[in-house]
Amino acid sequence: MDNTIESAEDKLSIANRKLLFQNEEKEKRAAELSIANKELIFQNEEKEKRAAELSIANKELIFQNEEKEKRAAELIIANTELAFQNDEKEKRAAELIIANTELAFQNEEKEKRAAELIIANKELAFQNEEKEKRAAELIIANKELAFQNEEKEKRAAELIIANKELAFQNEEKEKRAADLIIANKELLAFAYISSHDLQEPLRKIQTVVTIILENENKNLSEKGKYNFQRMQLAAGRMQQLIDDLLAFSRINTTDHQFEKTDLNLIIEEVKNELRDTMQEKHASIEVTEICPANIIPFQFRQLMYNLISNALKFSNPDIPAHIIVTAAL
Amino acid sequence: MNPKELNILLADDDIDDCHFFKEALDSLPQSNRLTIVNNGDELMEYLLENIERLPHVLFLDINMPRKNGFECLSEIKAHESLKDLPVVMYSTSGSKDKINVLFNTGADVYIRKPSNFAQLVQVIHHVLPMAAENIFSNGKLKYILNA
Repeated sequence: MDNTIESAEDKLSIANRKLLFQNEEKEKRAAELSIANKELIFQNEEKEKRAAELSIANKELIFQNEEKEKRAAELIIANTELAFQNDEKEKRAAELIIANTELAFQNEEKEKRAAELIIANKELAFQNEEKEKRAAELIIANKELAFQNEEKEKRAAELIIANKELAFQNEEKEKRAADLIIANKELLAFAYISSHDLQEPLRKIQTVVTIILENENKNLSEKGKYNFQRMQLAAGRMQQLIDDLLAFSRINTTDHQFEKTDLNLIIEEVKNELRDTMQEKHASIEVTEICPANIIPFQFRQLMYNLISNALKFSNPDIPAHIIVTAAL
Repeated sequence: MNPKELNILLADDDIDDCHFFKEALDSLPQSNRLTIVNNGDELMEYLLENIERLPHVLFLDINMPRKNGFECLSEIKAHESLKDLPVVMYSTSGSKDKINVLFNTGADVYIRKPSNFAQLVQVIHHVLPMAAENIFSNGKLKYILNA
Protein backbone atom coordinates (compact mmCIF):
# COMPACT_ATOMS: atom_id res chain seq x y z
CA MET A 1 0.00 0.00 0.00
CA ASP A 2 2.68 2.30 0.57
CA ASN A 3 3.68 2.03 -2.95
CA THR A 4 0.32 3.08 -4.07
CA ILE A 5 0.48 6.18 -1.83
CA GLU A 6 3.95 6.94 -2.91
CA SER A 7 3.00 6.41 -6.57
CA ALA A 8 0.04 8.70 -6.10
CA GLU A 9 2.28 11.35 -4.42
CA ASP A 10 4.70 10.89 -7.33
CA LYS A 11 1.96 11.25 -9.78
CA LEU A 12 0.63 14.37 -8.05
CA SER A 13 4.03 15.85 -7.91
CA ILE A 14 4.47 15.16 -11.66
CA ALA A 15 1.01 16.62 -12.38
CA ASN A 16 1.82 19.68 -10.26
CA ARG A 17 4.97 20.30 -12.06
CA LYS A 18 3.10 19.82 -15.37
CA LEU A 19 0.49 22.28 -14.18
CA LEU A 20 3.07 24.76 -13.17
CA PHE A 21 4.66 24.41 -16.51
CA GLN A 22 1.34 24.77 -18.20
CA ASN A 23 0.57 27.80 -16.15
CA GLU A 24 3.75 29.39 -17.09
CA GLU A 25 3.10 28.56 -20.66
CA LYS A 26 -0.40 29.96 -20.40
CA GLU A 27 0.86 33.17 -18.91
CA LYS A 28 3.28 33.40 -21.73
CA ARG A 29 0.36 32.64 -24.09
CA ALA A 30 -1.77 35.21 -22.33
CA ALA A 31 0.90 37.80 -22.74
CA GLU A 32 1.16 36.84 -26.38
CA LEU A 33 -2.60 36.97 -26.61
CA SER A 34 -2.70 40.40 -24.98
CA ILE A 35 -0.30 41.63 -27.58
CA ALA A 36 -2.34 39.88 -30.23
CA ASN A 37 -5.41 41.44 -28.69
CA LYS A 38 -4.03 44.85 -28.88
CA GLU A 39 -3.05 44.12 -32.40
CA LEU A 40 -6.54 42.81 -33.07
CA ILE A 41 -8.05 45.89 -31.45
CA PHE A 42 -6.04 47.97 -33.73
CA GLN A 43 -6.89 45.83 -36.61
CA ASN A 44 -10.52 46.07 -35.50
CA GLU A 45 -10.34 49.77 -35.42
CA GLU A 46 -8.79 49.73 -38.81
CA LYS A 47 -11.42 47.38 -39.90
CA GLU A 48 -14.15 49.56 -38.52
CA LYS A 49 -12.73 52.48 -40.36
CA ARG A 50 -12.52 50.32 -43.42
CA ALA A 51 -16.05 49.10 -42.73
CA ALA A 52 -17.27 52.68 -42.55
CA GLU A 53 -15.51 53.37 -45.73
CA LEU A 54 -16.91 50.21 -47.16
CA SER A 55 -20.38 51.14 -45.95
CA ILE A 56 -20.13 54.37 -47.79
CA ALA A 57 -18.71 52.58 -50.71
CA ASN A 58 -21.45 50.01 -50.30
CA LYS A 59 -24.16 52.59 -50.39
CA GLU A 60 -22.60 53.98 -53.46
CA LEU A 61 -22.46 50.51 -54.87
CA ILE A 62 -26.07 49.85 -53.87
CA PHE A 63 -27.08 52.97 -55.69
CA GLN A 64 -24.96 52.03 -58.57
CA ASN A 65 -26.37 48.57 -58.35
CA GLU A 66 -29.89 49.87 -58.41
CA GLU A 67 -29.05 52.02 -61.36
CA LYS A 68 -27.51 49.05 -62.95
CA GLU A 69 -30.55 46.93 -62.20
CA LYS A 70 -32.78 49.58 -63.72
CA ARG A 71 -30.45 49.71 -66.62
CA ALA A 72 -30.40 45.94 -66.71
CA ALA A 73 -34.19 45.84 -66.70
CA GLU A 74 -34.25 48.32 -69.49
CA LEU A 75 -31.61 46.28 -71.24
CA ILE A 76 -33.62 43.12 -70.69
CA ILE A 77 -36.61 44.79 -72.31
CA ALA A 78 -34.43 46.18 -75.02
CA ASN A 79 -32.78 42.81 -75.33
CA THR A 80 -36.10 41.02 -75.61
CA GLU A 81 -37.11 43.50 -78.24
CA LEU A 82 -33.84 42.98 -80.04
CA ALA A 83 -34.16 39.21 -79.70
CA PHE A 84 -37.61 39.44 -81.26
CA GLN A 85 -36.32 41.69 -83.94
CA ASN A 86 -33.44 39.29 -84.39
CA ASP A 87 -35.79 36.38 -84.78
CA GLU A 88 -37.80 38.31 -87.29
CA LYS A 89 -34.69 39.23 -89.10
CA GLU A 90 -33.50 35.66 -89.07
CA LYS A 91 -36.83 34.51 -90.47
CA ARG A 92 -36.63 37.25 -93.02
CA ALA A 93 -33.03 36.29 -93.72
CA ALA A 94 -34.06 32.66 -94.17
CA GLU A 95 -36.79 33.76 -96.50
CA LEU A 96 -34.34 35.95 -98.30
CA ILE A 97 -31.92 33.06 -98.59
CA ILE A 98 -34.63 30.94 -100.17
CA ALA A 99 -35.70 33.83 -102.34
CA ASN A 100 -32.10 34.44 -103.19
CA THR A 101 -31.52 30.84 -104.11
CA GLU A 102 -34.60 30.97 -106.24
CA LEU A 103 -33.46 34.20 -107.86
CA ALA A 104 -30.02 32.75 -108.39
CA PHE A 105 -31.60 29.75 -110.10
CA GLN A 106 -33.86 31.98 -112.16
CA ASN A 107 -30.90 34.08 -113.00
CA GLU A 108 -28.95 31.08 -114.23
CA GLU A 109 -31.91 29.96 -116.28
CA LYS A 110 -32.25 33.42 -117.67
CA GLU A 111 -28.60 33.48 -118.55
CA LYS A 112 -28.90 30.17 -120.29
CA ARG A 113 -32.00 31.38 -122.09
CA ALA A 114 -30.23 34.58 -122.94
CA ALA A 115 -27.33 32.55 -124.35
CA GLU A 116 -29.76 30.50 -126.36
CA LEU A 117 -31.55 33.62 -127.49
CA ILE A 118 -28.27 35.10 -128.57
CA ILE A 119 -27.55 32.00 -130.67
CA ALA A 120 -31.10 31.97 -131.98
CA ASN A 121 -30.83 35.64 -132.68
CA LYS A 122 -27.68 35.14 -134.69
CA GLU A 123 -29.35 32.33 -136.58
CA LEU A 124 -32.39 34.49 -137.23
CA ALA A 125 -30.21 37.34 -138.31
CA PHE A 126 -28.48 34.96 -140.73
CA GLN A 127 -31.78 33.62 -141.96
CA ASN A 128 -33.06 37.11 -142.27
CA GLU A 129 -30.16 38.01 -144.48
CA GLU A 130 -30.71 34.90 -146.56
CA LYS A 131 -34.37 35.73 -146.82
CA GLU A 132 -33.63 39.19 -147.89
CA LYS A 133 -31.32 37.86 -150.56
CA ARG A 134 -33.97 35.35 -151.57
CA ALA A 135 -36.62 38.06 -151.49
CA ALA A 136 -34.48 40.11 -153.79
CA GLU A 137 -34.09 37.12 -156.09
CA LEU A 138 -37.81 36.44 -155.88
CA ILE A 139 -38.61 39.99 -156.78
CA ILE A 140 -36.50 39.58 -159.89
CA ALA A 141 -38.03 36.18 -160.62
CA ASN A 142 -41.45 37.62 -159.96
CA LYS A 143 -40.91 40.34 -162.48
CA GLU A 144 -39.76 37.73 -164.97
CA LEU A 145 -42.81 35.59 -164.21
CA ALA A 146 -45.11 38.59 -164.50
CA PHE A 147 -43.61 39.21 -167.91
CA GLN A 148 -43.95 35.58 -168.89
CA ASN A 149 -47.48 35.58 -167.52
CA GLU A 150 -48.40 38.46 -169.71
CA GLU A 151 -46.88 36.67 -172.67
CA LYS A 152 -48.78 33.56 -171.77
CA GLU A 153 -52.01 35.44 -171.40
CA LYS A 154 -51.47 36.88 -174.84
CA ARG A 155 -50.70 33.38 -176.10
CA ALA A 156 -53.74 32.01 -174.25
CA ALA A 157 -55.93 34.62 -175.85
CA GLU A 158 -54.52 33.59 -179.23
CA LEU A 159 -55.04 29.94 -178.36
CA ILE A 160 -58.65 30.59 -177.33
CA ILE A 161 -59.25 32.09 -180.72
CA ALA A 162 -57.42 29.22 -182.42
CA ASN A 163 -59.33 26.76 -180.23
CA LYS A 164 -62.67 28.20 -181.25
CA GLU A 165 -61.59 27.91 -184.83
CA LEU A 166 -60.55 24.29 -184.25
CA ALA A 167 -63.77 23.54 -182.38
CA PHE A 168 -65.66 24.87 -185.34
CA GLN A 169 -63.53 22.86 -187.74
CA ASN A 170 -63.95 19.84 -185.48
CA GLU A 171 -67.70 20.14 -185.54
CA GLU A 172 -67.57 20.40 -189.27
CA LYS A 173 -65.36 17.34 -189.40
CA GLU A 174 -67.64 15.42 -187.08
CA LYS A 175 -70.58 16.28 -189.27
CA ARG A 176 -68.51 15.23 -192.27
CA ALA A 177 -67.46 12.01 -190.47
CA ALA A 178 -71.06 11.23 -189.61
CA ASP A 179 -72.00 11.83 -193.25
CA LEU A 180 -69.10 9.61 -194.31
CA ILE A 181 -70.16 6.83 -191.95
CA ILE A 182 -73.64 6.93 -193.42
CA ALA A 183 -72.24 7.10 -196.95
CA ASN A 184 -69.90 4.23 -196.15
CA LYS A 185 -72.72 2.06 -194.84
CA GLU A 186 -74.74 2.88 -197.92
CA LEU A 187 -71.78 1.99 -200.12
CA LEU A 188 -71.28 -1.32 -198.32
CA ALA A 189 -74.97 -2.08 -198.59
CA PHE A 190 -74.81 -1.14 -202.27
CA ALA A 191 -71.71 -3.32 -202.75
CA TYR A 192 -73.47 -6.22 -201.06
CA ILE A 193 -76.69 -5.90 -203.03
CA SER A 194 -75.03 -5.22 -206.38
CA SER A 195 -72.52 -8.03 -206.02
CA HIS A 196 -75.31 -10.34 -204.95
CA ASP A 197 -77.28 -9.38 -208.02
CA LEU A 198 -74.21 -9.69 -210.26
CA GLN A 199 -73.62 -13.19 -208.97
CA GLU A 200 -76.78 -14.60 -210.44
CA PRO A 201 -76.21 -13.94 -214.17
CA LEU A 202 -72.55 -14.88 -213.74
CA ARG A 203 -73.45 -18.20 -212.15
CA LYS A 204 -75.71 -18.87 -215.11
CA ILE A 205 -72.96 -18.05 -217.63
CA GLN A 206 -70.69 -20.45 -215.77
CA THR A 207 -73.31 -23.16 -215.68
CA VAL A 208 -74.07 -22.78 -219.39
CA VAL A 209 -70.36 -22.93 -220.21
CA THR A 210 -69.99 -26.15 -218.25
CA ILE A 211 -73.09 -27.60 -219.94
CA ILE A 212 -71.68 -26.80 -223.37
CA LEU A 213 -68.22 -28.11 -222.50
CA GLU A 214 -69.73 -31.31 -221.21
CA ASN A 215 -72.58 -32.00 -223.62
CA GLU A 216 -71.14 -30.45 -226.82
CA ASN A 217 -67.60 -31.56 -226.25
CA LYS A 218 -67.35 -33.60 -229.45
CA ASN A 219 -68.96 -30.85 -231.57
CA LEU A 220 -66.35 -28.24 -230.60
CA SER A 221 -63.01 -27.67 -232.30
CA GLU A 222 -59.90 -27.58 -230.13
CA LYS A 223 -59.77 -23.78 -230.58
CA GLY A 224 -63.42 -23.52 -229.56
CA LYS A 225 -62.80 -25.64 -226.49
CA TYR A 226 -59.79 -23.50 -225.57
CA ASN A 227 -61.78 -20.29 -225.92
CA PHE A 228 -64.58 -21.73 -223.82
CA GLN A 229 -62.02 -22.63 -221.17
CA ARG A 230 -60.66 -19.06 -221.23
CA MET A 231 -64.21 -17.78 -220.82
CA GLN A 232 -64.70 -20.16 -217.93
CA LEU A 233 -61.50 -18.87 -216.28
CA ALA A 234 -62.52 -15.24 -216.75
CA ALA A 235 -65.96 -15.99 -215.32
CA GLY A 236 -64.26 -17.73 -212.39
CA ARG A 237 -62.11 -14.67 -211.86
CA MET A 238 -65.19 -12.46 -211.92
CA GLN A 239 -66.90 -14.75 -209.45
CA GLN A 240 -63.87 -14.48 -207.20
CA LEU A 241 -64.05 -10.68 -207.39
CA ILE A 242 -67.74 -10.71 -206.55
CA ASP A 243 -67.16 -13.11 -203.64
CA ASP A 244 -64.39 -10.85 -202.38
CA LEU A 245 -66.60 -7.81 -202.77
CA LEU A 246 -69.31 -9.57 -200.78
CA ALA A 247 -66.80 -10.51 -198.11
CA PHE A 248 -65.49 -6.96 -198.06
CA SER A 249 -68.99 -5.55 -197.64
CA ARG A 250 -69.35 -7.78 -194.58
CA ILE A 251 -66.07 -6.54 -193.09
CA ASN A 252 -67.60 -4.03 -190.70
CA THR A 253 -70.16 -6.52 -189.44
CA THR A 254 -67.89 -9.54 -189.05
CA ASP A 255 -64.29 -9.77 -187.90
CA HIS A 256 -61.35 -10.22 -190.22
CA GLN A 257 -60.83 -13.95 -190.55
CA PHE A 258 -57.14 -14.70 -190.54
CA GLU A 259 -56.26 -18.13 -191.90
CA LYS A 260 -53.00 -20.01 -192.12
CA THR A 261 -52.63 -20.10 -195.89
CA ASP A 262 -50.02 -21.49 -198.29
CA LEU A 263 -48.88 -18.45 -200.27
CA ASN A 264 -47.71 -20.70 -203.11
CA LEU A 265 -51.32 -21.64 -203.81
CA ILE A 266 -52.40 -18.03 -203.90
CA ILE A 267 -49.56 -17.06 -206.24
CA GLU A 268 -50.35 -20.08 -208.42
CA GLU A 269 -53.99 -18.92 -208.69
CA VAL A 270 -52.89 -15.42 -209.59
CA LYS A 271 -50.46 -16.81 -212.18
CA ASN A 272 -53.29 -18.80 -213.81
CA GLU A 273 -55.51 -15.75 -213.91
CA LEU A 274 -52.75 -13.69 -215.52
CA ARG A 275 -51.56 -16.40 -217.91
CA ASP A 276 -52.57 -14.55 -221.12
CA THR A 277 -50.87 -11.31 -220.14
CA MET A 278 -47.77 -13.22 -219.06
CA GLN A 279 -47.58 -14.96 -222.43
CA GLU A 280 -47.92 -11.62 -224.24
CA LYS A 281 -45.10 -10.10 -222.22
CA HIS A 282 -43.01 -13.28 -222.27
CA ALA A 283 -42.95 -12.86 -218.52
CA SER A 284 -41.81 -15.34 -215.93
CA ILE A 285 -42.44 -15.47 -212.23
CA GLU A 286 -39.85 -16.79 -209.83
CA VAL A 287 -41.08 -17.73 -206.39
CA THR A 288 -38.49 -18.32 -203.67
CA GLU A 289 -38.60 -18.98 -199.96
CA ILE A 290 -42.33 -18.68 -199.56
CA CYS A 291 -43.84 -20.00 -196.34
CA PRO A 292 -47.40 -20.39 -195.07
CA ALA A 293 -48.67 -17.18 -193.46
CA ASN A 294 -51.53 -16.07 -191.27
CA ILE A 295 -53.51 -13.85 -193.66
CA ILE A 296 -56.98 -12.86 -194.81
CA PRO A 297 -56.92 -14.97 -198.00
CA PHE A 298 -59.18 -12.90 -200.28
CA GLN A 299 -57.39 -9.66 -199.39
CA PHE A 300 -53.97 -11.20 -199.87
CA ARG A 301 -54.99 -12.77 -203.19
CA GLN A 302 -56.19 -9.35 -204.35
CA LEU A 303 -52.93 -7.79 -203.18
CA MET A 304 -50.80 -10.31 -205.07
CA TYR A 305 -52.99 -9.98 -208.16
CA ASN A 306 -52.69 -6.20 -208.14
CA LEU A 307 -48.93 -6.27 -207.55
CA ILE A 308 -48.20 -8.81 -210.27
CA SER A 309 -50.60 -7.37 -212.85
CA ASN A 310 -49.13 -3.90 -212.25
CA ALA A 311 -45.63 -5.31 -212.59
CA LEU A 312 -46.64 -6.79 -215.95
CA LYS A 313 -48.51 -3.68 -217.07
CA PHE A 314 -45.61 -1.32 -216.43
CA SER A 315 -42.76 -3.56 -217.58
CA ASN A 316 -40.57 -2.62 -220.52
CA PRO A 317 -42.24 -4.35 -223.53
CA ASP A 318 -38.86 -4.91 -225.24
CA ILE A 319 -37.44 -6.97 -222.39
CA PRO A 320 -39.10 -10.15 -221.12
CA ALA A 321 -40.41 -9.37 -217.63
CA HIS A 322 -39.00 -11.39 -214.79
CA ILE A 323 -40.93 -11.11 -211.54
CA ILE A 324 -39.38 -12.39 -208.32
CA VAL A 325 -41.60 -13.09 -205.34
CA THR A 326 -39.79 -13.69 -202.10
CA ALA A 327 -40.64 -13.60 -198.41
CA ALA A 328 -38.82 -12.52 -195.27
CA LEU A 329 -39.72 -12.22 -191.65
CA MET B 1 -79.00 -48.43 -209.27
CA ASN B 2 -82.15 -46.89 -207.88
CA PRO B 3 -85.14 -48.54 -209.54
CA LYS B 4 -87.71 -46.39 -207.77
CA GLU B 5 -89.00 -43.49 -209.80
CA LEU B 6 -89.20 -40.43 -207.60
CA ASN B 7 -91.72 -37.61 -207.67
CA ILE B 8 -89.66 -34.45 -207.34
CA LEU B 9 -91.14 -31.00 -206.77
CA LEU B 10 -89.06 -27.89 -207.55
CA ALA B 11 -90.19 -24.45 -206.36
CA ASP B 12 -88.13 -21.78 -208.14
CA ASP B 13 -89.09 -18.58 -209.97
CA ASP B 14 -85.87 -18.51 -212.05
CA ILE B 15 -86.46 -20.02 -215.50
CA ASP B 16 -82.74 -20.66 -216.06
CA ASP B 17 -82.33 -22.45 -212.75
CA CYS B 18 -85.41 -24.56 -213.50
CA HIS B 19 -83.90 -25.43 -216.88
CA PHE B 20 -80.52 -26.35 -215.32
CA PHE B 21 -82.22 -28.46 -212.69
CA LYS B 22 -84.25 -30.33 -215.31
CA GLU B 23 -81.19 -30.89 -217.48
CA ALA B 24 -79.19 -32.16 -214.50
CA LEU B 25 -82.04 -34.49 -213.53
CA ASP B 26 -82.23 -35.77 -217.12
CA SER B 27 -78.54 -36.58 -217.13
CA LEU B 28 -78.95 -38.91 -214.13
CA PRO B 29 -79.03 -42.66 -214.88
CA GLN B 30 -82.49 -43.18 -213.31
CA SER B 31 -85.61 -41.44 -214.50
CA ASN B 32 -87.73 -39.28 -212.19
CA ARG B 33 -90.82 -37.16 -212.48
CA LEU B 34 -90.29 -33.45 -212.04
CA THR B 35 -93.00 -30.93 -211.21
CA ILE B 36 -92.12 -27.22 -211.18
CA VAL B 37 -93.95 -24.37 -209.41
CA ASN B 38 -92.76 -20.77 -209.80
CA ASN B 39 -93.67 -19.05 -206.54
CA GLY B 40 -94.58 -19.67 -202.89
CA ASP B 41 -98.32 -19.28 -203.30
CA GLU B 42 -98.34 -21.77 -206.15
CA LEU B 43 -96.26 -24.18 -204.08
CA MET B 44 -98.59 -24.14 -201.06
CA GLU B 45 -101.62 -24.46 -203.33
CA TYR B 46 -100.06 -27.48 -205.08
CA LEU B 47 -99.14 -29.20 -201.83
CA LEU B 48 -102.55 -28.72 -200.25
CA GLU B 49 -104.27 -30.02 -203.43
CA ASN B 50 -102.01 -33.10 -203.53
CA ILE B 51 -101.95 -33.81 -199.83
CA GLU B 52 -102.75 -37.49 -200.53
CA ARG B 53 -99.98 -37.86 -203.15
CA LEU B 54 -97.17 -35.73 -201.86
CA PRO B 55 -93.84 -35.71 -203.78
CA HIS B 56 -90.90 -37.69 -202.38
CA VAL B 57 -88.87 -34.51 -201.97
CA LEU B 58 -89.20 -30.75 -202.36
CA PHE B 59 -86.37 -28.57 -203.67
CA LEU B 60 -87.18 -25.08 -202.39
CA ASP B 61 -85.63 -21.80 -203.55
CA ILE B 62 -85.56 -18.96 -201.04
CA ASN B 63 -85.92 -15.79 -203.10
CA MET B 64 -89.32 -16.11 -204.70
CA PRO B 65 -92.12 -13.59 -205.27
CA ARG B 66 -95.34 -13.51 -203.20
CA LYS B 67 -94.25 -16.01 -200.61
CA ASN B 68 -90.58 -16.72 -200.12
CA GLY B 69 -88.98 -20.09 -199.42
CA PHE B 70 -88.51 -19.38 -195.74
CA GLU B 71 -92.22 -18.62 -195.24
CA CYS B 72 -93.15 -21.74 -197.21
CA LEU B 73 -90.79 -23.87 -195.09
CA SER B 74 -92.35 -22.50 -191.87
CA GLU B 75 -95.86 -23.28 -193.11
CA ILE B 76 -94.93 -26.78 -194.28
CA LYS B 77 -93.22 -27.69 -191.00
CA ALA B 78 -96.16 -26.30 -189.00
CA HIS B 79 -98.72 -28.28 -191.05
CA GLU B 80 -99.74 -31.64 -189.59
CA SER B 81 -99.92 -33.44 -192.97
CA LEU B 82 -96.94 -31.71 -194.63
CA LYS B 83 -94.38 -31.65 -191.84
CA ASP B 84 -92.78 -35.00 -192.82
CA LEU B 85 -92.12 -33.90 -196.42
CA PRO B 86 -88.33 -33.81 -196.98
CA VAL B 87 -87.32 -30.24 -197.84
CA VAL B 88 -84.07 -29.49 -199.63
CA MET B 89 -83.35 -25.77 -199.57
CA TYR B 90 -81.82 -24.68 -202.89
CA SER B 91 -80.42 -21.16 -202.98
CA THR B 92 -77.47 -18.96 -203.90
CA SER B 93 -76.89 -17.56 -200.42
CA GLY B 94 -73.84 -18.79 -198.51
CA SER B 95 -74.64 -17.08 -195.20
CA LYS B 96 -74.16 -19.50 -192.31
CA ASP B 97 -76.58 -17.56 -190.09
CA LYS B 98 -79.31 -17.85 -192.68
CA ILE B 99 -78.62 -21.58 -193.12
CA ASN B 100 -78.83 -22.15 -189.35
CA VAL B 101 -82.20 -20.39 -189.21
CA LEU B 102 -83.44 -22.66 -192.02
CA PHE B 103 -82.24 -25.78 -190.20
CA ASN B 104 -83.90 -24.60 -186.98
CA THR B 105 -87.13 -24.10 -188.90
CA GLY B 106 -87.01 -27.70 -190.18
CA ALA B 107 -85.04 -27.77 -193.47
CA ASP B 108 -83.37 -31.17 -194.03
CA VAL B 109 -80.67 -30.28 -196.54
CA TYR B 110 -79.18 -27.05 -197.78
CA ILE B 111 -77.72 -26.87 -201.27
CA ARG B 112 -75.95 -23.78 -202.48
CA LYS B 113 -76.67 -23.46 -206.20
CA PRO B 114 -73.40 -24.39 -207.93
CA SER B 115 -71.95 -22.52 -210.88
CA ASN B 116 -70.71 -25.72 -212.46
CA PHE B 117 -73.11 -28.09 -214.18
CA ALA B 118 -71.18 -31.22 -213.23
CA GLN B 119 -71.38 -30.21 -209.59
CA LEU B 120 -75.12 -29.66 -209.88
CA VAL B 121 -75.58 -33.14 -211.30
CA GLN B 122 -73.40 -34.58 -208.56
CA VAL B 123 -75.21 -32.86 -205.73
CA ILE B 124 -78.69 -33.89 -206.97
CA HIS B 125 -77.39 -37.40 -207.47
CA HIS B 126 -76.19 -37.39 -203.87
CA VAL B 127 -79.42 -36.08 -202.35
CA LEU B 128 -82.06 -38.09 -204.22
CA PRO B 129 -81.28 -41.53 -202.68
CA MET B 130 -81.50 -39.97 -199.21
CA ALA B 131 -84.89 -38.48 -200.12
CA ALA B 132 -86.08 -41.82 -201.53
CA GLU B 133 -85.44 -43.54 -198.21
CA ASN B 134 -86.51 -40.43 -196.28
CA ILE B 135 -83.53 -40.76 -193.96
CA PHE B 136 -84.25 -37.19 -192.83
CA SER B 137 -87.39 -38.19 -190.91
CA ASN B 138 -85.43 -38.85 -187.71
CA GLY B 139 -84.67 -35.15 -187.82
CA LYS B 140 -81.13 -35.66 -186.64
CA LEU B 141 -79.16 -35.31 -189.84
CA LYS B 142 -78.61 -31.96 -191.47
CA TYR B 143 -76.58 -31.53 -194.62
CA ILE B 144 -74.96 -28.55 -196.17
CA LEU B 145 -73.96 -29.32 -199.71
CA ASN B 146 -71.88 -26.33 -200.55
CA ALA B 147 -70.96 -26.68 -204.18
